[in-house]
Amino acid sequence: MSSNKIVLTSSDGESFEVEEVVARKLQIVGHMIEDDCVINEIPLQNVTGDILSMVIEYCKTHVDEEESEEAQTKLKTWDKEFMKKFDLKTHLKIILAANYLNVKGLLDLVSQTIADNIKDYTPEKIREVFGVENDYTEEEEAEVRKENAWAFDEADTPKP
Amino acid sequence: MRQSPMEVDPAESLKEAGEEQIPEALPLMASSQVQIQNIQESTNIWPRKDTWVNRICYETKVSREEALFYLEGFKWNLDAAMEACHSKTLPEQPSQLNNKLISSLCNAAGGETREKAIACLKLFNSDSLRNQQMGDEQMDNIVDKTRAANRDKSLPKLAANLPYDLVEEILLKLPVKSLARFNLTCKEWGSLFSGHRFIYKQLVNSQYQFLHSRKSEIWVVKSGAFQIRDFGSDEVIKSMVQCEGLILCSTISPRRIVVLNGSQTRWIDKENLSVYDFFCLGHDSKNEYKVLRFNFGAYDCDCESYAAVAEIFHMTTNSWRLSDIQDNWEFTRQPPMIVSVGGNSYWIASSDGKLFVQSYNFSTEEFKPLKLPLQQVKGTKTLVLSSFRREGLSLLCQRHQDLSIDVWNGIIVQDRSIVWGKQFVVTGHNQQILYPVPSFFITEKKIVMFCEELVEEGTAHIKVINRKEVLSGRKRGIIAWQVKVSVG
Repeated sequence: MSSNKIVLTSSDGESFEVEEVVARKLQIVGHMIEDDCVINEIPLQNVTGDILSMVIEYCKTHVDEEESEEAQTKLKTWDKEFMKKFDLKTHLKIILAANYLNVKGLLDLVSQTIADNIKDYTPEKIREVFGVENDYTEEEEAEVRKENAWAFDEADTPKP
Repeated sequence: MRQSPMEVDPAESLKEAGEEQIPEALPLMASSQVQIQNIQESTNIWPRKDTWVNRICYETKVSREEALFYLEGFKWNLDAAMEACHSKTLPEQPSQLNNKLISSLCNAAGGETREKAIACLKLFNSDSLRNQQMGDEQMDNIVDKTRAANRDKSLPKLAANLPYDLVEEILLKLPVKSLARFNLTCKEWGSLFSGHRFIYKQLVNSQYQFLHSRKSEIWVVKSGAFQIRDFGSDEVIKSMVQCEGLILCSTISPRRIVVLNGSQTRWIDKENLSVYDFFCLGHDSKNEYKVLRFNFGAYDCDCESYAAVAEIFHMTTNSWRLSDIQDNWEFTRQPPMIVSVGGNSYWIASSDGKLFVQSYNFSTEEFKPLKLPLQQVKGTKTLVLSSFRREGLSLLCQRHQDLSIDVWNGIIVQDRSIVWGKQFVVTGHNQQILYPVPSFFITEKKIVMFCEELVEEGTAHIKVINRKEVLSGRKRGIIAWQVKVSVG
């Protein structure tokens, strides 16, 4: 094994050479390293090269998380800009990858991003996006709508 | 077998190209895209490139060199080059496409193709495609517009194959108002949102979230203030406590109690509620929710009875039952600040002028006093309690003399006793922060505090007291955000 470089290979055969500290941010890899089953190349079956490169970019940026307020703020800004680059389709690919590769920070970031993007959707649109069937009867639906009427008002709540 | 370029009969090649290779007339930009792909392909397949040269030569009677010149100049846009050969106009310089913009759009739209990016650009501002000098700001603007357009376009079943635990992961991050709306999605989601596990997880997720009631409204205060419920002007909230995502409110005129979670509301009707009643919300070890109502026996002219009483309401069986009461103590502040940890309730109480933590255990249905980490006489210090990481208590203690703040964390041992440890001390500031009724969270380095300061109607503060910075004597130790929580 070369000193502290590890090669990660995506399902479509793209290879990335990264520092061990970066690779360890992918907990799936971290566990492999601890279990001594790493030679020098790790095949990652469930993630394609384009998505893996995004995950690696995230891990590189987050490799040494400084405690200072300033560094934290800077990272948060970076996170936000990073997520802004992608659309829902890509966000969904990233959440799958972050889950499979076990990168907790990225999983939180991307799920929060998706939540922020869908929070104003109507239930109808949510059904469409998540492929969920409406199994309420008309009466039940009216009842649920009534119970939650406060959440359907159009008026925006005042923001600070 | 491939023919060598020189042997191609122009007419023959034209026919071939017309059928297979020459793209149909497309809008300029879109067809440019097709040409770009063709260039890449044609580096390997020379005859096709040559076909076009031949075609131009054949149609416009120019030399091969001239045809090549125009084709190169127009980036192998056959139609444009053909046109230019006819009219002898030179291609525009430099390149026709703002590649930087297109690639940033491809990025922004994540996974969108160049064609789509170009189509989006055309939609918003086709001139920008040609403008190499466009500033970053302008570019961001277009990228943002495109992104917004992408967001709003139809996204059928995009997330249909997402595993359920990841769907849940996303839903957990939604604000309560969205959850209430999404109850309507399907029955499964509706029951997920009202489940104990989901509510608890949601609460853990949103650590620095403060609940605040004002008149008939409940607000969640984070970095901004968000109204989550408004009972309407007829109901005025008198007290509010929370337990693992459930909120209990008592209202006056009429006197009622109501339990709500993120998305559901349950009114509990009860005769003879007194304005001097206190309420706690908790659950026993079987996760069954209960409401404690107790009263020291204060006289309320609207009530038939004013004896000291403690009663338990079981939310599963919908029934009230009397509980033992201890009334040899009193609250140290009004309204009391009741903290819920592990389903049980805790608050600061005093007895004979001595302070302690009073608790109510919802499993045994008993009151139980717990000690404080300091021997304290009422009046020289202000004490405030909060939960600590959902498993213990935090205690803020501000000395009136020098305003220094001691922070203690306490771990509750088997619901019976508490072990306190001093976390840190904040000195060197001059803010009286513990008044009127703050709620706060302790992290390793910070006290994040919400307090409503009655400076002007409708404003409140979230204060973050950074221990490190205060200790090192820096000025910006206390950061306060003013948060508008109500208009008028």
